[in-house]
Amino acid sequence: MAAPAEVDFRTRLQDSLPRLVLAPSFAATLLFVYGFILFTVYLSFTGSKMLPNFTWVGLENYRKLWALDAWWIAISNIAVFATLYIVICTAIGLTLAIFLDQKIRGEGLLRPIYLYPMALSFIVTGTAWKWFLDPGIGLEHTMHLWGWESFSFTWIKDRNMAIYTIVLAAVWQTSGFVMAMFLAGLRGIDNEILKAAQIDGASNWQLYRRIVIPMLRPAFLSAFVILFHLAIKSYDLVIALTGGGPGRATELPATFMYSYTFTRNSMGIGASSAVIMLMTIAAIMVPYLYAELKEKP
Amino acid sequence: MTPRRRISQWSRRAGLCLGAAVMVLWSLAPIYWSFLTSITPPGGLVSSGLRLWPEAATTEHFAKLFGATSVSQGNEVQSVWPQFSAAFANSLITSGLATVVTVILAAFGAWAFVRLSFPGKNVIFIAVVATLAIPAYTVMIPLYRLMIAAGLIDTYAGVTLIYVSAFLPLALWLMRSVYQSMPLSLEEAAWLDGASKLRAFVQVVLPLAGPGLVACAILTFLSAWGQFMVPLVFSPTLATKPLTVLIPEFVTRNYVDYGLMNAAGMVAIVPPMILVLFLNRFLVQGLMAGAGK
Repeated sequence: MAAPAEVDFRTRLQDSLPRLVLAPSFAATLLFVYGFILFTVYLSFTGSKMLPNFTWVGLENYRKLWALDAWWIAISNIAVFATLYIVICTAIGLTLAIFLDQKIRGEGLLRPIYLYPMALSFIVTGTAWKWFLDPGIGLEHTMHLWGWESFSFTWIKDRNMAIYTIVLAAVWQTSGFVMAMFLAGLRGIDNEILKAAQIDGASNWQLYRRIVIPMLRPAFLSAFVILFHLAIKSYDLVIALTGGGPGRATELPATFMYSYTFTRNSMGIGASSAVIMLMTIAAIMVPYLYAELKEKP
Repeated sequence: MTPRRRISQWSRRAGLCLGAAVMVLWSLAPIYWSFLTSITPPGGLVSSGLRLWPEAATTEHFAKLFGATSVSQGNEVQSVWPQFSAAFANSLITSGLATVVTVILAAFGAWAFVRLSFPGKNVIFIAVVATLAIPAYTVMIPLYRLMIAAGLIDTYAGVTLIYVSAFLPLALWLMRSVYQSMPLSLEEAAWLDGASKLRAFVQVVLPLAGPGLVACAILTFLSAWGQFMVPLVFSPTLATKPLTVLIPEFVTRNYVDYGLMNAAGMVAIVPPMILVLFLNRFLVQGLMAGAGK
């Protein structure tokens, strides 16, 4: 009889259909992304200027890169920026989530309000921030008009402080999203455990300190990974707020790479800076991904 | 309840309200500031400083944005409406396409990673999700060359492709957690009733994964809508140039038209605002599957 074989063929086709459809797209993604990374690594060893060329120069680009002041500024800026950004965002996000988790009225209203900054492109809200931070027209000007003549807020014009205005705006933008992640984590905690602890006489503080926060460990890890990669990617924040200035004071690796590759015609140096950033990310992300996937096979 | 207890509870509630109010102010002030700028006459911006409402509200900037031609400092200025409307449409089309394609691929792909077994499954999944961590700028140079070679610069297909490959890993990761939190028995019941694997998936699993899919869609749409660096390189003309690239161009060499920029910004934030307003609870539900376990 032919029927069973036919059914067999049909089910087999249906079983493999997702694979047939998906395999090419995944293969393409993998090939492009990893192939492109290899290409970038290769470029970093060549003397490419405005266009790629394939004369091998060894580590020359890396030597030049580490001799550039602008690169050192970018590296120290990203260290300051990423640390402050991740710590402050996590603190604010966690606080907001715990607050919204108190079964307060108006949660439905407050949640979107806290999420809004993340939803809006910074290129758009950045103009408002620029305005706010500008001493001549923003907060400082307003305070002077209100009669507080000695008020001074000139961070954005100050080489040493300008990077903190970027932190301020970045925290504003993402703390609501971190809140959503922690809120999801809090909602996933079994209420029975909390009730049991309360019956045992645990205070609110102990409850959070000893039970809730440790149970949020996965949420902390996810938040850390997402914030870390957002920090490394930060580009439009700097462009919208300071354009890398004053001088080069707010240059980040992303703006450095973009300007060396696309406007300063030093593709080799741009590529080598990209490779350094990639290695930094890999050093931090790979252990995390490994642990994450090992836990949930 | 003792009076002391009542006082402490009352002060706790007052503290909570105060905290909430400060955070609302912190979240909304820049947006309100933007709105204020968009309805303040050009001269009023510098002279009056911060006010809760301008002395003389004006629709001048919006008229400039939507109008045919306008007058600025005595000169007739070319209308920005054709540019603005084209960029708005571009933003909608590229973000919309990217969202649809990403969500479909993630919905099927993540399921394949959870329920099907094939060689190298975990390695491939790690390799795909790891691309999440790779900043766009590390692959920008070869990508740019390839896009030129393929004739995909400044086309919807090109921009959508880039967005999909950029946002798919996160969506996959999220959907994988969503499927993992679902019991296999649901599908097995459907299989026993004679449904094929695919049919069981479409009719039983997908509807249950709704919040997760919506969360993916929100994240993808918002990321695509806010993209700046990718279109800056890959969308040089108004054929695909989105609002995020167009709006900063309103800054001319010697004059920053804050009013116009903010009016444009106000229009540009309408779609994401609507999205967050109506769908944000799905975002938390969708994230729950991943973070709660």
